[in-house]
Amino acid sequence: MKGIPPEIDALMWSLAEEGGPVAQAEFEARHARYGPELTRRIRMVAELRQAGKSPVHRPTFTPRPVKVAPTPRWAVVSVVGLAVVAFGAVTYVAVSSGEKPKTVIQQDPPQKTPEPPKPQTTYTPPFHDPIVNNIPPEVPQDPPKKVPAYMKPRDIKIEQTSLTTAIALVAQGSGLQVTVAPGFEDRQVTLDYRGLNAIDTLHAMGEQYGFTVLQEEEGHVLVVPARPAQEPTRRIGA
Amino acid sequence: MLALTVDRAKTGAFDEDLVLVERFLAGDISAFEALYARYYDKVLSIARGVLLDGDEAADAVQEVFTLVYRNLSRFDRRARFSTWLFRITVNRSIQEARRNRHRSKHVELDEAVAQVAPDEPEPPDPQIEAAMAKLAPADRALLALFYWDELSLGDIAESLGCNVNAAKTRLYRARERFRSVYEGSVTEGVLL
Repeated sequence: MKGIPPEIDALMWSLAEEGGPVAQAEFEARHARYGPELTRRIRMVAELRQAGKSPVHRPTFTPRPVKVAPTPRWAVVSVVGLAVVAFGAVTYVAVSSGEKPKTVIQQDPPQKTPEPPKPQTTYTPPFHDPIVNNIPPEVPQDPPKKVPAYMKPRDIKIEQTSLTTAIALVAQGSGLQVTVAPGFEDRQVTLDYRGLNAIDTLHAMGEQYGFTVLQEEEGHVLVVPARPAQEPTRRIGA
Repeated sequence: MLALTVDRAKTGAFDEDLVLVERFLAGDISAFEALYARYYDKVLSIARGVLLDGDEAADAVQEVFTLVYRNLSRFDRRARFSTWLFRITVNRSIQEARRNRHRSKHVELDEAVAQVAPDEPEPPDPQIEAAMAKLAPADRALLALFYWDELSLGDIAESLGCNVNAAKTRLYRARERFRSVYEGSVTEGVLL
């Protein structure tokens, strides 16, 4: 209430909340001017307190199942708004960077690029080399011959194939086991040898394409790349 | 001497609640029922003061005690159980009141009339109810804590999570707002 000194105001609230009739009479005797105001406050506080008193029926407590709060509308709106802003930003960046939109044109099924011609060989014996294709060699059923197959002369014609494949093909079917040393430089080759056995064929290939064939043991050769003449590793003197 | 007696009384109540809390956490369900019986009236009083509806308040009280039942292990022993409980009640009731404020606008008149049970007791004073309804839920909570539950300023401060001076200021303002609305409604009632 306007115009009431703070100390009187506080005193009236104290009397309204805690004072009795005697205190009220004393206050009104001293401050007759504020008597009606004090009466109003006493009445208001009494009615306010009375409003809090109501018969209470206490039910038995049973814990309720946990409620899952639904997603508030503002959260949904925020997520949608952020998504729109993000989409706009991405679109703006894409447009401003001058990147043309990708268009998909349906075409006929792509034609297969012509594969390199398969090497033509004059023989296709079913032989499995463990070095080349990592398949254990089959046990020959025929009785062993006196002259090994890799010593028999043959005609070999191979066109446009890799050197390592050509070596494997030469070895294949001849019973010759070939190990290619690491660092071997591969390239496309064309071969046409007639009347040479497998080892001679490999030697001829080595001379032509720069590798050396070393015979390890019977029926096993090692192919190593040809090395340039070694230079002295140490120099002495000026 | 009086202050010492009050402190001892408070400490005694605190310890008793704490014993019940510990017993409940150890698996004794009856301990929680004792806490429920002890504080049901006060919690309902706060909820009713904020929500201004007996059914909604009773519903909120069950929610509050369910929360306490499930989260009592999180109770920080530095505070008293009662003020911790009142704080949950105030927050939950204010939250519910804000939610109901939007919902109640859509209640049709016929529906509202039909909801009044014939045997429901009359509200104590319509002017008090009307004045309370015009206040913010936080103000109503303060008045309920002070006038209905008759908590001290210290307990109110602890229940609201503020210091005593802040609680005093907020209570003073809430009371002034209530008086303003109440006296306005009284004047209108006299004129009518």
